[in-house]
Amino acid sequence: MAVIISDQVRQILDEINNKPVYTIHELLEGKIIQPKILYVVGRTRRRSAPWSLPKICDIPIRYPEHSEVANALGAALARTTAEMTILADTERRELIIGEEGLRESYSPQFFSGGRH
Amino acid sequence: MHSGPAAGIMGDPGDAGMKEDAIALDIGGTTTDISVFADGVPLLEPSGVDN
Repeated sequence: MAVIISDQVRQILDEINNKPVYTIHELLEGKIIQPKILYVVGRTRRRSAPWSLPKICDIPIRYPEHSEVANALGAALARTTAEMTILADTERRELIIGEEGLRESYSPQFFSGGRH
Repeated sequence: MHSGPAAGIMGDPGDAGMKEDAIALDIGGTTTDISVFADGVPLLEPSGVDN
């Protein structure tokens, strides 16, 4: 599992570093991502992790305070980076985002599941 | 974007000034979500891996 995660991380970095990088705040064209820190959050507790993370990614690891509940903290503390109003007109089957001037149709399956 | 791990890290007082390139792993019971930060700012398309 550790090797799979490590390979995936390297693959993601290769993909990102081979194309322009977009962040929420600015366009970082030409930037190469060279991670300096690996943060680990989630249910895995560092003492019971069955595999050794430092040897995988060769960068220092940090377990943020309250890492076991990071997702809940994130939901509570997330800074607003953008706001928009999305109206789903179920009669016309249209999605409308007034701030963007967007109006488009959606399929009957839109609300039946999957990630958006 | 996986707001949970990204914001959980950005909300940690110890990392409030984090301005580095970084990786975040949210290791759950069945999947691991991978987030990437460029100069401390989360990128918009992280990926996940099945454990």
